[in-house]
Amino acid sequence: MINSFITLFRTDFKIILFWLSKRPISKIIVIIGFLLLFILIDRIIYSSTFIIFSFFKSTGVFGRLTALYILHTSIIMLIWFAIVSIMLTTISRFLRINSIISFLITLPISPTIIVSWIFFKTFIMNIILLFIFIMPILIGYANVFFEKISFSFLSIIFIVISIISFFTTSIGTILGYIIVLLFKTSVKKSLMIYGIFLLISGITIIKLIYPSNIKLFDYTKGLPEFQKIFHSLPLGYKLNPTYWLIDSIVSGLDMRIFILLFFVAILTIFTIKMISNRFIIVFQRLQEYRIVNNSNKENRIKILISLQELFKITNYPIFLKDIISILRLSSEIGFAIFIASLTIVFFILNFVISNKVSESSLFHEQIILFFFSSFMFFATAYLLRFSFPLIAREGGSAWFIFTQPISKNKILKEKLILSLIISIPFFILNLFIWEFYKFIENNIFFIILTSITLLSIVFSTIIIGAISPNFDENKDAERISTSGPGLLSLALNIIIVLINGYVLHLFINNQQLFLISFLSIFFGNAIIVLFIYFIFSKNNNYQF
Amino acid sequence: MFFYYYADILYMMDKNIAISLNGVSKKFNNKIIIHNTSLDLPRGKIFTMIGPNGAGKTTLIKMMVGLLTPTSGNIKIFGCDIVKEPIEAKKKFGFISDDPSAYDYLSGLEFLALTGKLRGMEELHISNRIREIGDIFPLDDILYQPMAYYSRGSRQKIALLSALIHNPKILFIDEPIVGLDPASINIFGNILLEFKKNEGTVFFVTHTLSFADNFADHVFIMNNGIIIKDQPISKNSLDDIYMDALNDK
Repeated sequence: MINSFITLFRTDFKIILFWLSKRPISKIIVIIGFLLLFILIDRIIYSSTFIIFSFFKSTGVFGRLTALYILHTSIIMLIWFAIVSIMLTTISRFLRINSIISFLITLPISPTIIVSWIFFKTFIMNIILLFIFIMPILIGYANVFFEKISFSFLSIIFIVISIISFFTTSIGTILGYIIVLLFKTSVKKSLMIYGIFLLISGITIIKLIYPSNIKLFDYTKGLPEFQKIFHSLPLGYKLNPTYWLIDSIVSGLDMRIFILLFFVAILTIFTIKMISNRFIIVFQRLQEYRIVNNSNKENRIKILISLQELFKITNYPIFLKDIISILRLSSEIGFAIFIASLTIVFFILNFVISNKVSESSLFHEQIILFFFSSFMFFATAYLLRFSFPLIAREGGSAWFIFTQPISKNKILKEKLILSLIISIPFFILNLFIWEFYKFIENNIFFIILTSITLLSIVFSTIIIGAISPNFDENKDAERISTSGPGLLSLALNIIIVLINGYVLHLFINNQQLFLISFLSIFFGNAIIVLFIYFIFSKNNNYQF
Repeated sequence: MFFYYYADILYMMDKNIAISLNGVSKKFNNKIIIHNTSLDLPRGKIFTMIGPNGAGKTTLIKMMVGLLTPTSGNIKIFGCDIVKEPIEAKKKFGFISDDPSAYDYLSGLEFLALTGKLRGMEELHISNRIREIGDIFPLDDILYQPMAYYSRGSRQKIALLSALIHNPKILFIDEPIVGLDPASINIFGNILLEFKKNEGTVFFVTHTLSFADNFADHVFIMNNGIIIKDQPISKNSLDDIYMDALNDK
């Protein structure tokens, strides 16, 4: 039994080696690029937390408790994020045609082995991402409050992150599995329920982090009262298990952490057992449901007929085809729901906290720049997933699309139009989102600059995606987005955001409108025009 | 006077040539896959190309339809260079790949309508053609379903219909009958014969010698990127021609 488990992991390792052996230099550059990117992200998180924690340290016990609260908040947010992303992975795994699982269930391997293999692969990815995001915050805290990082501190962090990773992998897998079981006949219903869960859980998390009694801090007099209010908050409550995790990081290990270890071990075994018990039957039934469900629906037929008619009259058939792909593929809708819910939850939290912090005019510029960069972060994540792979996804149908009597420029133009259309939610959001910042008197400049930056990102993303499309990975949009050209597109987007962020900084501080407009239009967009020229003149090199 | 007469003959001959390959070679990473190949294929005939795996057949057909660019030489479709005038050349043919999957999220009907539109056809013309060719195979019960649920054979049938929708003059097919049931193989072969009768040219690559034997007029045998035999087929002769060609080599 254990041999099959090891063989499956060994095969994964060989697949990675095989992937590396094909064009190894470019793969190594991609890996180094991503490492540098993560180092940059970690460095930014570390520097900001270090500055914030240093400020709180100077205010004594009040500051130490507030820093503890921020630490707790970030861990709660990451737990929520990990659970919802693992839920999406689980739902997609069951609802999509999965050739590897289909192959594995024909082999004489126990379902427990297959489920454990999937579970631990998810666990490994999860723990890596948790390390990337939690480590800089914890090290920032330790450097400020402990002034040095000991080996025992690092060991505690490792144990805490492992507990979080086992917990989130188990809960995310169970919740995803339950949604699939409940709504097995409908991909759309499953994803809708997932979206509702995302929103409700996200708003609950915000309520948990920012409960109504937090306002009592404004009227506190003295430390005892402050401490009393602190421990009455949901995140300050001493019986809250996540509080135990934070307390072990700050004060060292005790019995509570061993209780949590025992709990997550039981939870992991329960998760694997629960799913493997009916894994093969559920997997087979889902395939059957899908086929039956798709062959017996008259209303679906009516819709298909009207779309067929639409194809005949439209002048943008490729655009229409791509719109249909987004609406009909569960993977696409799932990711759209995921990113939309994350954006909503993030911005609600952002507004609540920013308007509180903005009572001091010292932080206005920081709040604006933080909002601008996070808005662009969500837009980039969305566009890298939807716009960037648009050309590469034609790889599987290259025999068809590239033997039609149409120019490659027509294909590109329609993809560009689609990119603009699918980014409309961000343009609309930008129109009134600045209104929420009460301290901004005239928001026209902010709206215009954000729109220009967004437009540049839309153009650069689709164009880099067309310069060197990864046709081989046409079925997996995530892989396309994380390839070398994906990294290049991300780098270009970061440059565009940095330049426009600098323009914003100039505007806030100097009001040099002429210089600002010139810089914004020239650097933010002229570079993109050059790329457009380049790609439209060099796009005849695709070969299959 | 004689010069004009000679040019006229050349022009008429050229019009009769559907596909012309002139010194075509293809290299991948300095390895030659196709060696200096020249062919002139007249209209109104069915040509087949057979050969062992890795002989270069698919590479050659992909160059003919513009999916790969020749390293040297040129390919003309009714006089239009596939590299220099790709749009004009592509208007004249339909192509079916060895893996006919495309856009799983579209229904068969939507796929046919999309092809018609990309081929520049008018709305009414597309509807009429779908009606005309829709009866070739009994596909009524699945035409409205997304193609993700199609069997290999049904995908092949839809691919053939999409290749025929614009009334092309040439059909290029890489492995025409993989996944088809015996009755559909017969229908497929008869469609090719009908197409030939209307002055159409078919070029297909296959491993199924019996199908090539039944429906093709002329065979090319390729090995290691070189056409080692090129001759007309008489009924039930292909097995012997193929084995002789490989043994001679």
